[in-house]
Amino acid sequence: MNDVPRFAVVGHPNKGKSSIVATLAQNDGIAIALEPGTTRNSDVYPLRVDGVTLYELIDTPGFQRPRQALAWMQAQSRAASDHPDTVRAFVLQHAGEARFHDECELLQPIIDGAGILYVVDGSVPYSSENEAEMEILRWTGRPSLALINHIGDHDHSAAWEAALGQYFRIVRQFNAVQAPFEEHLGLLRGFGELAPGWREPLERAVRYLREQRDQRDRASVTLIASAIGDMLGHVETLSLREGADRTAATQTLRERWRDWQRQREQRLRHDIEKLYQHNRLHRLEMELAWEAGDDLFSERARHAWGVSRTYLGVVGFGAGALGGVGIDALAVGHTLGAGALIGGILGATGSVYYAGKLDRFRLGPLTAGGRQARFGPVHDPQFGYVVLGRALEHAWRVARRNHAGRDPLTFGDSNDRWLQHLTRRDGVALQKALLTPPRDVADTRRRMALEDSIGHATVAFAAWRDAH
Amino acid sequence: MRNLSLLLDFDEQYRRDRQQDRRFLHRRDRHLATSQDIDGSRGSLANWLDAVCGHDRDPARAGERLRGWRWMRVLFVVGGSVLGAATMLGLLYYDGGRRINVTLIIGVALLQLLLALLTTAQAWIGWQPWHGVFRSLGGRWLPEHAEPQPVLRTLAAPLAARIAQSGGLAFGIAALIVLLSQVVIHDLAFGWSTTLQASAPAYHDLTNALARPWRGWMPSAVPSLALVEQSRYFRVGATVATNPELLGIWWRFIAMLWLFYVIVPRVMLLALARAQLAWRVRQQLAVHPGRAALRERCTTPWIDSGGGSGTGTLPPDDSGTLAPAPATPGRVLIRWADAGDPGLARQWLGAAALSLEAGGSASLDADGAVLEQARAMGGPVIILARGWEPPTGELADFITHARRRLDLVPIQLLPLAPELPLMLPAAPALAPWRRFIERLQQPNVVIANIPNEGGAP
Repeated sequence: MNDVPRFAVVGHPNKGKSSIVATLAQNDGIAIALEPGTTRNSDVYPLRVDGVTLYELIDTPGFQRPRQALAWMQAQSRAASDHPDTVRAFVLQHAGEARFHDECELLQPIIDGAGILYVVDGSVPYSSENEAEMEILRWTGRPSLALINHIGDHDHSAAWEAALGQYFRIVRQFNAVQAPFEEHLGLLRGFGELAPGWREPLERAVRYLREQRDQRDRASVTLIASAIGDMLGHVETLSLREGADRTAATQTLRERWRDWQRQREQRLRHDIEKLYQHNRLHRLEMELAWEAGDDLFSERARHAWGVSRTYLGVVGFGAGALGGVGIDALAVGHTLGAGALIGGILGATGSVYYAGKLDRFRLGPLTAGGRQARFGPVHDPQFGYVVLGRALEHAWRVARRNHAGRDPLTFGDSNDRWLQHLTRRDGVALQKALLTPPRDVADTRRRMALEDSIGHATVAFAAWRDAH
Repeated sequence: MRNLSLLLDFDEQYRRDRQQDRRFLHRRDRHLATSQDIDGSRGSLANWLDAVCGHDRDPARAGERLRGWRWMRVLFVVGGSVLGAATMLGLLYYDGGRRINVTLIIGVALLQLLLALLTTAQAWIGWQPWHGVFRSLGGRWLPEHAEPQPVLRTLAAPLAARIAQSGGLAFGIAALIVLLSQVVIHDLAFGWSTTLQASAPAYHDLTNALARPWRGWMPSAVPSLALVEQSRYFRVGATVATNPELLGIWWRFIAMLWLFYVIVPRVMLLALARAQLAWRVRQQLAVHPGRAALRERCTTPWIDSGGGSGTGTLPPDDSGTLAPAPATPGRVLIRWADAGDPGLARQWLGAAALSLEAGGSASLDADGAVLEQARAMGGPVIILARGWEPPTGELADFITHARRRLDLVPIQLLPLAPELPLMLPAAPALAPWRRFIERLQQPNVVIANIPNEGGAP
């Protein structure tokens, strides 16, 4: 246990210590502690891989009385060589004392062997108030690293770097809210440089975290494919008695069908958020009603994520031609490519014809109990693109969101620009997969085709988003 | 069939797991992988199911889910047996007036062979014209089978083929038994007849070709040319046989014909249907969406970074609280930790006002001296603080000491926003300061706003 690298995240109150821990520990529950000075006890956040702890992050309360603590230590110390012992003596002397509760809490893990991650806010001006804190940390003699976090919009990091450089050997900048995932890993690697024995476990941790990220990205594709398969194939049914009002039945079924689609989309979002360990995002989303006016069936959604009729026609031709090629192959080429041509024309015509025709109401045969009215499955290829675009946008934002982030999610717009990053072949395969979703979970062939296409779409979407 | 029940159990567990939290599933399966050598391969699936389902895993469950299919199989076997016996009785019906037509029996046997082959072809193609009928009947008689597991729907074709071949086999065996019993207990007179202009040698060639599978080792079951010539009859004409004993010899050929063209193909195609079902089950087990996910969960390490165990709480909402009143101008302004500008005392409080500095890099003794100076000046005191920094214990101590030293003069804490012009921070950033003052519980200590212009005494 003593060999496990431990890092005490310390600093002035409310400088983003918890944000750093929240981002690195992927715990969005920590960042909610908005009240400065209310973190009174140290919390340990270990990274465990198959039950084996690779490192521990310790979120500590901020310094409350550093000048008083330093004054006590200076009064007790006789030489620089006794500084670490003096700090230990301070903790022992004041343990259980309300006045120095926070100082004891934050110094205890350090005197127990933890490395120091000293966090400051680079968006506010440097303050000499921090000097007593930094001096105490220097007295501990433990390996240390200073992190300049950026909570606000201003940049005072140059002044901070100059001051921190006098107390800490390593000074790094890290925006806990905006830093991309690779920077998280880079920071963890930096922690490994603090002591010789810490490099190996931190390198392993980085490797595992990267694998975990890849695994989550793959799982995200599966979740999206599963949801899209469900949504495109969903059917609502209603038993109609002889002479029942068809218009009212259509209306009822349409509403039920749309509600079901909305709920399924929400479930997908919830699943994606849980996958990336954003457990509180959904609640924020509900509270702030960030989706007002951005309903799945709104004109805005269709405008933002739908595709042009030209695109549908061109790609639909390709998708239809793929099927026609099979007929040509069966005829050993004797059809002179007519199968592909006819398939292409049918595919293009169907795609353009059904575009925008979301309602699909059908009546079953008349039986003793009346007729069964069915709504769905949808044939409108636009709907698939809208659902897919919204799902990719949400997943992309959630995957890149740090756990220190508190702002609600917002959506961008796309039209069909992201599709330009798909190869023509992948675009055709995607349209085919959207038009022929899996019939059920056991429909392996279509399910795998849809997953493959969405995998390619995810890569294309990320390329488009990253480029903009 | 062990693999089929394994597939059904796995599929059912997969559907249950879809409701579970992914993190829980990963932790569970990775633990099983490391402790029980389960890696998600087919060989380890039974162990995985035993470990996951525990005592809930009942081998009889799979049988229950296949109950509809089993009933159907029994129905086909019983129905096939009855129909087979009835068919053979019909074929062998002999009223003494005319002979039993061997041509008809050959036709029925070949028809059976054709049906058996068609059943197999249909199963391989996956065409299920009877699907709707089965579904509606199943829904009526066995409501729980109206919507079977999706994975079972993909096995419907080979399952149906197996049932159909079983029924066909029962038909053939029952018919053969009836044939043999009729041969024993009755005096059957066979003959052959056809409207076509077939000669006896041609018919002999036909029977000879049909008897190819057994003619080498059972020549007595191959009709001779003499038998064929003598057993031909016409509907109109003499019906009395010249050699009645000869006509019964046909039974050996018919029994072997039935055995080789009805029963043996059915046995072989039933075995093929079973093999096809086993192959489909293995294929479904291999490509089942749950398999890849399980393998990934078993082979990738379980990483726990403490996510989901957050302890944070939201602070109370202060947005409705009124803005603090402007500070009452006095003669002392204390800048805590370099907050504000040294010229503010003169600007707000007049030329005679005193600007003092405490906190920050100042020593504790210097703080004490500041309070002494403030006491000497008298009147309300303004303490400027950096509003973007949270209030610390040292500031609390300073205000508490100030309260003791300054009798009951108003102490007005003025946290500044970082931006210019000078102002208080916005409500969310000011809220911690309000609560800080509340926690201090010191009399006559308040949060104050920027003093009004011209407020200096």
